[in-house]
Amino acid sequence: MTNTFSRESAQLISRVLGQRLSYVAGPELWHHLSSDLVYLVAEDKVLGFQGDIQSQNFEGFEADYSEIQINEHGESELMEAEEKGNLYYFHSGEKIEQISIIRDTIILSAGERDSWQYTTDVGVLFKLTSGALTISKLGYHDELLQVKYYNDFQIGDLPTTVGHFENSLYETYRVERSVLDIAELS
Amino acid sequence: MGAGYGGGNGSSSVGSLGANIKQLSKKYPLSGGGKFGEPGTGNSRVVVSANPQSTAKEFFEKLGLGGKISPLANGKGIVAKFPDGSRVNFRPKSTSGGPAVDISTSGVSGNQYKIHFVSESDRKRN
Repeated sequence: MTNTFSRESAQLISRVLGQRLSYVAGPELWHHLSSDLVYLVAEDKVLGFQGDIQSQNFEGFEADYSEIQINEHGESELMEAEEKGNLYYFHSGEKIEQISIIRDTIILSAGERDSWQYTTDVGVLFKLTSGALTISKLGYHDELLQVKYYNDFQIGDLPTTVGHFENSLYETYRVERSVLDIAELS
Repeated sequence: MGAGYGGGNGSSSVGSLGANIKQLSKKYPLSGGGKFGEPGTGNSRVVVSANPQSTAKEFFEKLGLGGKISPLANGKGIVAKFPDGSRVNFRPKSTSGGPAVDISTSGVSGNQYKIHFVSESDRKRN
């Protein structure tokens, strides 16, 4: 089962490549910099990250799995964010030099075989002139996204995504993470 | 502009999800694994009640006490967020059709699971 960014979404994301970051915002973006709606505003482009859920049954039962929808419209939401003071200017003015997609594959193994695997894009990494920022899912099952800033980014600093998956005597889960350049997807 | 590098102007939220869970467990006992309800599908739990909607609301109100509460932008529910990153989501309508509460606690003993609220008749049908 896959739940990854479409080519159209990847193309939208890649439009801010090479632009200067202005700010990150969201009407409810303040507590731990987490919200289900986050905007990244660059020179003349706006990228909206909307956390949502979709129902799937690849585990053998119906359950909710998070997804990120990308859009480029958010005038009223940005106005609301401004009214509430939820604009964040860290690293403002820095060039977005590289964009990568953070992709997780969760694999359930029962005995010696893999029962299923679920591949999902959990976030986007924006490498800036100095430092970086990520916008990523907090969990595999709900809408909330988190924003993290890094002064000195290391790949091991990428945020962890939490899930309902729990090991038992008979079944074990493992997560394989990859970081893909946006150019590979768009 | 928001305050602080971590956006942490949440000092007005004084509650803790752990404390709220402890309080609610006096009425709805926790399992040996520290979760509410009975085992459901996957890692989810099931709470059976005469009025699933009001019981789910009661869970959210009591678990979300002291948290920063905001609606989800997709209109599918509300979330309470706590200073330590723990959170509780309430969905009046989930994949099962009925209400559900998602619990996500931070820390070493962090737990993430969903509680589906069902009536006795729904429980028998499933």
